[in-house]
Amino acid sequence: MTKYEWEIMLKELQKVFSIVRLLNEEELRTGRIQGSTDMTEGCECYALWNKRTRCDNCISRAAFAEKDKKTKLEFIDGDIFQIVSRYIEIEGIPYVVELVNKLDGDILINEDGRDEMLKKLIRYDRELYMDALTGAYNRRYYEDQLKQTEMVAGVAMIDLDDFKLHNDTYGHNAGDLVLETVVNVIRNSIRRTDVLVRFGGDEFLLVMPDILEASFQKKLKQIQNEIHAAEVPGYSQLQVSVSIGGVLSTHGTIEDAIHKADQCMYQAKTSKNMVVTESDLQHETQNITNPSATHKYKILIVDDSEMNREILSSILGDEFDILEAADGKECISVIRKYGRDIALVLLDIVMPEMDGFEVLEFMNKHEWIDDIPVIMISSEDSAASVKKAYEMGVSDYINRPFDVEVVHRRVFNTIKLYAKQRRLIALITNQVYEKEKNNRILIEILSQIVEFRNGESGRHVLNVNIITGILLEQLTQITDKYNISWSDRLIITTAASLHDIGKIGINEKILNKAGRLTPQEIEKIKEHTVIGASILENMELFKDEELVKTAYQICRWHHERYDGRGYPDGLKGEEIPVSAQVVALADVYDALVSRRVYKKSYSHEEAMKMILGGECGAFNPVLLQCLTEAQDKIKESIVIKEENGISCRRNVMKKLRKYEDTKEHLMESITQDIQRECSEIEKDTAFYQ
Amino acid sequence: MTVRECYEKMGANYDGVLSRLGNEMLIRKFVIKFLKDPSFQDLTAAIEKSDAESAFRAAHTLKGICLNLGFDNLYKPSEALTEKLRGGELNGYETLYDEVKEQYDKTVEAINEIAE
Repeated sequence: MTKYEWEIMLKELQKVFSIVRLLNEEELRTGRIQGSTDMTEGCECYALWNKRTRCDNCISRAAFAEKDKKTKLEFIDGDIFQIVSRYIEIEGIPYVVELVNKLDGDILINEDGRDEMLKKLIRYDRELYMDALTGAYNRRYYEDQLKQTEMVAGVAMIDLDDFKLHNDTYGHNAGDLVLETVVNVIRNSIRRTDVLVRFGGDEFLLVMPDILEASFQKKLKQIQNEIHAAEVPGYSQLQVSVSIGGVLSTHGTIEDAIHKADQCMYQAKTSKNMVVTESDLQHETQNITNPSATHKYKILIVDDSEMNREILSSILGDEFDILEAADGKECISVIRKYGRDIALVLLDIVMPEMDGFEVLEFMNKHEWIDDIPVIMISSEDSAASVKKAYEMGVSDYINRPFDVEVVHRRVFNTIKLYAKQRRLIALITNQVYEKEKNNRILIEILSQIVEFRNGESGRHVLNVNIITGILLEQLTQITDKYNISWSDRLIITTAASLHDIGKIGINEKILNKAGRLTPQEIEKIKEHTVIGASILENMELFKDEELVKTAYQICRWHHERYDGRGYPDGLKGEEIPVSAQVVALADVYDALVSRRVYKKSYSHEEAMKMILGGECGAFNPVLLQCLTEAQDKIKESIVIKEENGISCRRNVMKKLRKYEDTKEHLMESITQDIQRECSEIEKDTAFYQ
Repeated sequence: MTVRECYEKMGANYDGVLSRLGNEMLIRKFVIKFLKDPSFQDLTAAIEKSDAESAFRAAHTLKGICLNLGFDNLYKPSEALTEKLRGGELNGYETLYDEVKEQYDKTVEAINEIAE
């Protein structure tokens, strides 16, 4: 095409199109219109559209590159524009000619078609920004439309309590229903103009424009209460609750407000099912007379430079309780003192006495590193040191120089992550423990029945339990030979309660006979071992359970002797399972120190002498050592019926409680694996990095 | 004298530290506190006693503090000295130590003007 031909064509085009632009390569590349080619002044190519940046969907550049024709529609201020970009060459030089037409509503399509199209466009928008499960807005909507918006609004973070646990316990279907239920409740409590966003997996953002502070607080409280009262369809046993943090944002972006709301929410999380607003926090900080009202997390700052400690504590001191240590040794002793009350350790590397790596080593050895997060704050930032620190379990690393904002975020995020994890552990521990408690109650009832028939008044089982526990504890300290884990100890102790269940099959008259037993009667009584074992063996459904297997061993073989002269099978030495060996010794000791219809009670010293002297059977020397070493503990732990009747019940209660505490400790160790899994999930879903 | 002028006088960048710590009062407080920080004296004493390990630690601490307070002038030589001492031997540190001392004195002098 020649220049002349182009000029004729331009005139024709201008009759049809409202704007005709000829753009050369330079203009297309820079977006800067030079203004010499036609009627447009020098300006940016996008000035035409009242935009501030170039169009993402620039078709002219595409047309130029592909030497082709492209068409698009632009929807600006309610008007639709059609743009055609076409590649042309004028006297050998490449250009794109841009033709723009505004489309009037009536010329576009007929009324019906227009509505149809608008609906489609709106639905597209809706789908793009809607969370498929709950129908709330999705995270993308927040990122695109809300994040940078500045408005006066109530901004609340609503976080489901223990959602992961519901999900894991009742399945994903239940989890989905929980989310739907929560969204429905919130939806029913808010205005049409309010915006609800599913912010993370179990976290919602609520933005309530132009709301008064009092109404905002009332609304949040209402949402919290109604969610707590809500029933999840099909899962009536499931109680849902949320922790809500709210701020009234009067200036700044929604993103800024969320940061504050998040802090309030985490305050609410310390007790769950709760609303905390910014004004609550301010109120509480003012309320110095009652410091317990606010729970502050403890942070331990470990740095040999007082200066550095002070900088950090002035950055963090308002929101956290600060503990300080000047070197590794002090650090360890502070951790010993406060334990898991410490929410976070900020740790320097280069220090006198004991350096940061040694502290980490120590924390690993004592498994503190799993419970207490550590953030490195050293200026020792060579890649090797940082890598080593990460390998030793630190959660994060804060570079020097310190930046207030960065320190805040990192500290806050780490604490948040661990706080969630700790709550999960506590929850799981309680649940496992509850289950275990029911088991113990049933076993207790069963053994009480046996005791009742034996006329032993219930103390014997309890004592055998306690002594078995003590002997096992002692045994694991002396030797690894038997490879007894914590859970084995729990099982053996529990199963010990069942050692005499076989007596249910023995005639009461023989059992409770005051006088001397005939040889036949003695043989009869000996049968209780085999009877007990066969009861357990016949439990088809549970016979493979560890507890049942152990109880079988104990029932059958707790009258065997280490020298092979016991009954019913004459097992010898280590042929006898260790569980039965321990219970046998516990049984004999308690029988000696208790009064029975057929015998008086012996003193602890007499009993010890008789057992060690071999008068009451033959035992594993290692177990006798355990008995000797733990005798004081045993003596003060068990219950002996006093003549005055009241007995030392209080002492027993104390012992029992201690026993329960030990169990709790055990449960915790069992849940460690679950905890690790949970923390992995947590890390995967953490949005704040 | 303002804190900014103090930084200018010692040859450090005030804007950097202000953007990180965000609060002039806080910066002033720590800058003045620097006068009482024993790291430089510890460094000098350790060198006198030929205690390479303590010298390294003191230089390291000094470097860390300078980084946090944005004392760029003092940070640079103390960083170099730290690396020199890292091996655990007191060799060829003299020039670097003199530079640290020179900048330390300059820094203290500037701070003294706002401390009064």
